[in-house]
Amino acid sequence: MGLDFKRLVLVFVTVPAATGESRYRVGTGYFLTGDLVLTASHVVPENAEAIEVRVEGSAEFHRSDKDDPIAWRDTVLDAVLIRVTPSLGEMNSPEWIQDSFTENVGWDTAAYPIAARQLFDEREKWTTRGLKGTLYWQGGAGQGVHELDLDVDAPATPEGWGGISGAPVFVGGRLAGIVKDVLKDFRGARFSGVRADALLAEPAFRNVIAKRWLELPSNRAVLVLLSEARKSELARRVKAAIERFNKDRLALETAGGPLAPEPVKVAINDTLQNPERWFQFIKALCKAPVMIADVTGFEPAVMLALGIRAVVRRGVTIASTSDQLDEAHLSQLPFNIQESKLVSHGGDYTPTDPKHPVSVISAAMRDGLRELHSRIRYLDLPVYDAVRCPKPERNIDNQPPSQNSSSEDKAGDSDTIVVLCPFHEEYRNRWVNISSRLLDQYPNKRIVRMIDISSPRLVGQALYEQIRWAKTCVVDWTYWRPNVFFELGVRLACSDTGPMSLLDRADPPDLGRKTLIQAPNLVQKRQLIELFAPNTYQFAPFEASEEERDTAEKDFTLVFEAHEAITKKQATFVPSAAVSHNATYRFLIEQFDWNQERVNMRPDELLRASAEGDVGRDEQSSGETTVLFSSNFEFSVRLRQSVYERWIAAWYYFVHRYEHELQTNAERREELKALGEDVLQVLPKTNDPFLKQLRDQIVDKIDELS
Amino acid sequence: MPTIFDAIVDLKTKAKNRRDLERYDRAAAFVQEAIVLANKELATPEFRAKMASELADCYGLLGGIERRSALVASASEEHVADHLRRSVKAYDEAWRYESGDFGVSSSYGMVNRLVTRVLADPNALIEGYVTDLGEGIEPVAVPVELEEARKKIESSKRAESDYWAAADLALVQLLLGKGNPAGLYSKYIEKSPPDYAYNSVLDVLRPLSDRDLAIKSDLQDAVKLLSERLARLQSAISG
Repeated sequence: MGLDFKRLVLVFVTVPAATGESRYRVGTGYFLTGDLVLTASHVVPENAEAIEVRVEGSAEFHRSDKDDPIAWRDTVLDAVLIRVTPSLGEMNSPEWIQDSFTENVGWDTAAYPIAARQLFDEREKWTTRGLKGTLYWQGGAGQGVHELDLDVDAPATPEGWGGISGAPVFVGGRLAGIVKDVLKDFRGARFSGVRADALLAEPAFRNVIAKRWLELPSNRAVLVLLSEARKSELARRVKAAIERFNKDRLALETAGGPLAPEPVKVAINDTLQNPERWFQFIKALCKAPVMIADVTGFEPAVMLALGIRAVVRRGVTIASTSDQLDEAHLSQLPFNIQESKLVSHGGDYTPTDPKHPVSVISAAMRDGLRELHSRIRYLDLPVYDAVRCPKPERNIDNQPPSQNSSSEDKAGDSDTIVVLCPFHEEYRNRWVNISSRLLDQYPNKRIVRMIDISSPRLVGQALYEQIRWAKTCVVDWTYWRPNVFFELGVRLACSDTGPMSLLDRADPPDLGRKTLIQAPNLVQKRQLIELFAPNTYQFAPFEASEEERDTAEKDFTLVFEAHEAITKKQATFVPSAAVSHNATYRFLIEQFDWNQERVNMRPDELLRASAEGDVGRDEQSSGETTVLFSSNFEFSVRLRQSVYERWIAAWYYFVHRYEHELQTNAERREELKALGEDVLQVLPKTNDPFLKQLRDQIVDKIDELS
Repeated sequence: MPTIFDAIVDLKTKAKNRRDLERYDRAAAFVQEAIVLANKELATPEFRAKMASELADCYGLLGGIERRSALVASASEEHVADHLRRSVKAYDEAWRYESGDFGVSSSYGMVNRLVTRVLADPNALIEGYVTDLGEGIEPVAVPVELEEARKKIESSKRAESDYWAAADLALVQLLLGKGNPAGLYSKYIEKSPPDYAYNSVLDVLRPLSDRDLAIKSDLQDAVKLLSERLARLQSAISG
């Protein structure tokens, strides 16, 4: 496509001057979408009073959106996206450069340099000038951000280049970046630029320029994730289940109200088409209060999505299969979802049959949402709490542990390499081979799989902790095992250091595959490879040929170099069709719905929830204590003390924290009255002077406010 | 957003607090509000069992409030009779929900409708006697129904796990003259019930032990036993 002059703009920015007046600044920009203009960040300072752009060949100015002028900015890269109106209308995304440069290449652009400014009747006239030069592929590296290193065939003075910042850089007709600076020591003959791959590696940038594909219509939408092999009846049945849910008074009353009537259906292959879709999908994973995933065949990408969901949402997640749920099926469940409730959406049943999928799914949504509302620690997938545990402590002697250390689990997890891989017999030689190679590279680190974690804690808990905290996490995609992809999803979602993904380039068939696990011939395998770019390797066991061993050596050298680069935060090239190693995590930082986190609760709310969580909301009506073994007298006394002390703490917190607001805020007064009633109910009717006095105070306060 | 179930629990809590403060009129008014709310939704199929359970609980609570109101110190005979009748009516209503096909498993109304009749009529425990508290209240042969109640609670096995049911069973057996207080209340005590449960049980036993009944000494022993247990519990709680 090359440079499109209809997209080229003069950027005109008004900024306050020291004298109290305004002055203007100019730059060059380029429309990436109908309403987003890319330019250098320094062209548009934070204190800009007005931002206007003029399209090439037009006298019309487009103004920035007054309320939200900056759609995205990265001051380190020195790039910004300005949101302008009116829009130019629908336009295709520019063609980005695809590959990293391996030789010097020619580049070209058109821009609005000051040197080309003309005066007509005391009015400035800004005209474009085309320019070209050489892009030095090995230049621009070193410390910090990797830049474009550009020289110019027809230099001007450095001052004369003012206005060129933000000019699009084209190489072979593809957008390779933007000009950001004129290097003064080169006397106007050398520029630095922002690289396209650096822009595209920014998840927020990609998300903002993306065409809207997936948007949840409300915070009561049900997300349905469809598998590849079975584009099944799941969506139809979920729609019917929602209809039933929305007519179920119990569900409406106790599960937070009606759900959006239309489920949002997403086919797993669509989510993997490109990074833009991937980001929109994981945004939906964060937002959807209910997600129903078709786990038929336990396809790797579906399991990956479930792993991410398990990290980002304490919501209702229902795994559904079109297979019949019999003992054979349940015995083949991947480790990670063995504890989860699996439902079946397949088969035909009479309308009154309680096994009818519409009834089952509707009830699962109702019960899940109800429990989510009433229990602050509700979970239907493992992981969520485990990845929120503090980092495990280091050994006291601060020495790296040996591989056989009996206290290995006490080691800091930065000393650990966690390997996510299959465990079946066919993988054994591969594990020996890979772990041996890892030990050669990292002799002072301990290398563990899930089954090597010696902690007596729950395996899942320890594993997910390691997945989050281990500095190096190796994931072997070979055999496309569902548990490996679930765990890969967990790592992608919760670590700023992406995994070291490996894949045997021979992609051998999984002979140990269980009958219900489908992996061969799935399109999603190719899509996953494109999107997450795993490192391919040559498997070279002991009996391998010399050539194979050489190839394996080269492969692993590249893998380790790439991993070193990301652990040292060095810039690495990311193909435009892929996401960077930590893009999913970084995007989630912005998209995670933190409002649902209990750590945000007010202390009095937290204390209330904690007490009610232990003994129930209406304890007196029950007659059965919910706390196991509390018929032990001493234990029952300590339990009662603990519960009422929590209520007392809630009362004192509220009264003193909102002492002044209580004078003016009616809502606060109602809250205090309600709290007082609950505290009164719980306080034991003893002659303890403190408790008697407190009861009197609360009664007086309630009377005063009533 | 609070649900209708939350609203009912909140009203019951307010009623219990007013009851404990001996503000019986206000307590009764809060329960009546809760009853109105629960009644509104009783016909909703999905809510039927839960609302029936709440109604049984609310009427039981109302019965207790009226009984306490009847027995305030220096109350006139008329006041006592009037409020005991109201109490019996409320417990009968609770029993209606417990005994209907609503799936409510409590025995609270079933037992207390009989106990309150004993409080209202000193002859109620005489074999073959039918207690009649006047128009609008069902005449009941208390000993016969106590025996029925015993069988029901025992067969439900609820007394194995539920301290309210254990207390109801002990009281029924006590009134039927079947066993000594220490033995009858042992199941209740071994569940280590909270102090409010002791207070509630004693609130029923104390006025009964003041009545001139054949089992007066057993009732007094029961009051003594449970009072001591409560004192021990309160002492432990106060630390």
